[in-house]
Amino acid sequence: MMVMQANMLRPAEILLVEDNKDDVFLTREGFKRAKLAVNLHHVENGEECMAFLRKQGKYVDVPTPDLVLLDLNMPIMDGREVLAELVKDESQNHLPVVILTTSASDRDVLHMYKLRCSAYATKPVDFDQFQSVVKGIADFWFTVVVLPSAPK
Amino acid sequence: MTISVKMDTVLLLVMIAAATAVFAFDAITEKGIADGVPYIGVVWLAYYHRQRHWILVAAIVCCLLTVFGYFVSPPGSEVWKSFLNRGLCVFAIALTAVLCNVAQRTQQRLRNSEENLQLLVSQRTDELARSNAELQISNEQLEQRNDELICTRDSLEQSNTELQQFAYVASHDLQSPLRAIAGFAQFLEKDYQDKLDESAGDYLRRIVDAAKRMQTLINDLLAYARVDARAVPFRSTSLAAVFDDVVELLQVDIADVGGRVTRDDLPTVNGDPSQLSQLLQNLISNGLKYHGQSPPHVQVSAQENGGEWVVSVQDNGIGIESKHHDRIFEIFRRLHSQDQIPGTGIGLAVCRRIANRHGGRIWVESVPGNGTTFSFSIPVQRSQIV
Repeated sequence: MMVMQANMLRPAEILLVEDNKDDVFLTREGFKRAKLAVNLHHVENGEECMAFLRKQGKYVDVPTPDLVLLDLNMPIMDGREVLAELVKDESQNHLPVVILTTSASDRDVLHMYKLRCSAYATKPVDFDQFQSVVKGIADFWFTVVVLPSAPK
Repeated sequence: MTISVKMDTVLLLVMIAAATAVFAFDAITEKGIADGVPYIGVVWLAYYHRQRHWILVAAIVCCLLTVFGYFVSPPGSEVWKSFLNRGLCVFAIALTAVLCNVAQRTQQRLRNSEENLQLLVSQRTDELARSNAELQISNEQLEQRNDELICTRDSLEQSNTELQQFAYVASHDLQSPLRAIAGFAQFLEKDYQDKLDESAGDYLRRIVDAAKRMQTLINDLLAYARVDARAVPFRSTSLAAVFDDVVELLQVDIADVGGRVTRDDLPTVNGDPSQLSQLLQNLISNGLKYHGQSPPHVQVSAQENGGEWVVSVQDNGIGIESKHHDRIFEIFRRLHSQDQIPGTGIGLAVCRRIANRHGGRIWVESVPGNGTTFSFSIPVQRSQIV
């Protein structure tokens, strides 16, 4: 998937924040089998996510993601805390964050939208459907939507 | 000797002294003075004595002294004047005695009344004190009961919250492994198609189907738990409107089986519109699903019966044996296999929960081969909430 930035096409950078190794594998496969060539970066929990976005520690040279796929239930720092933190951070709060999680509970959905997530999607059990969801997200965010460029 | 006895004795002495003084005065002085009028004072003094008979005694003595006084100092002339005087005196003394007597008797009666009243008051006070004590005990018992009830309610609320948390966590955490199972089985199916024989392909298909099925079960369990968890306050709901919405929702299913869904007049009740919609949808959908040879016809009607509305959903389907009439309301209890008629068996369990939440019951009447009627009750809406 190509992204237009500064009049150049470059591959889309996606940060996947997810602790379950199987779900990480499935997500990668989802993009791969949908023939979406994206640069999928992965971190295991919220703390690593913040470090990645702030390019701290071992993440000094990472690219800024165009889209963050955020799971909710993770150890150390979960998705809710990440989003709350991101919203406050002036240098990060322009990033599109799509919650990609198992829970479809009303309470969670409302809470995350109130925290101003960009979208909320649930992960189906069936892989074909899962792949559709992943492809749908990529299609929407990289072809329909106009993404912001990083703040100066 | 008590004060009162002393006083009485003193009084008698005073009376005697007074009488003596009057007599002496009468004897010494000339006609026209004394004669007996002052004796009234002596009689009047007797009024203050505790024993009433002294009035009489004083009166008689004074009268006698008055008469006797005539002989002690007889008048020189005008005897008839003295007679008249002393006669009048006797009369006055007698009158005084009578008045004093009456006064004393009235006083005595008043005192008796007062004593009676005080006795009555103290009796009543005792009774009141007793009643009060009993009420106090009753009150304490009630308060204790109340505390117990509050305790029970709190622990039930906590139990409910814990159950909901459990349902949330269970559903969430159970689905991740399911996704892995289904996903990787599907990868095997796709990526190793040419390397797998028919059995292997079949096994993988079953694995995937089972995983999907489990996800449906988990979602159904969640829906069941949510009946009370997502409880919305009741409001005035038109069952006719709910019915119409449900039928529109089921349009495709109705058309698929070539069925008909009709209703009589339906009442307005106090309830949760979305839950009542779910209830009707489940019942009508069942009526369509479990049909026999002839095209299904589902009829919804309502009847008021002793303070509640009884809504009936009747179909012309395959019917249910009476031995199953209780079982079918339990979670996941079905009477058919997935191949015969698909479903998870949560529909009627949810219906029962919704009916209970609305203060009613749900039951079934059915004869195999002769259709089924599901009925549920809802209390009649007393106050009109606009």
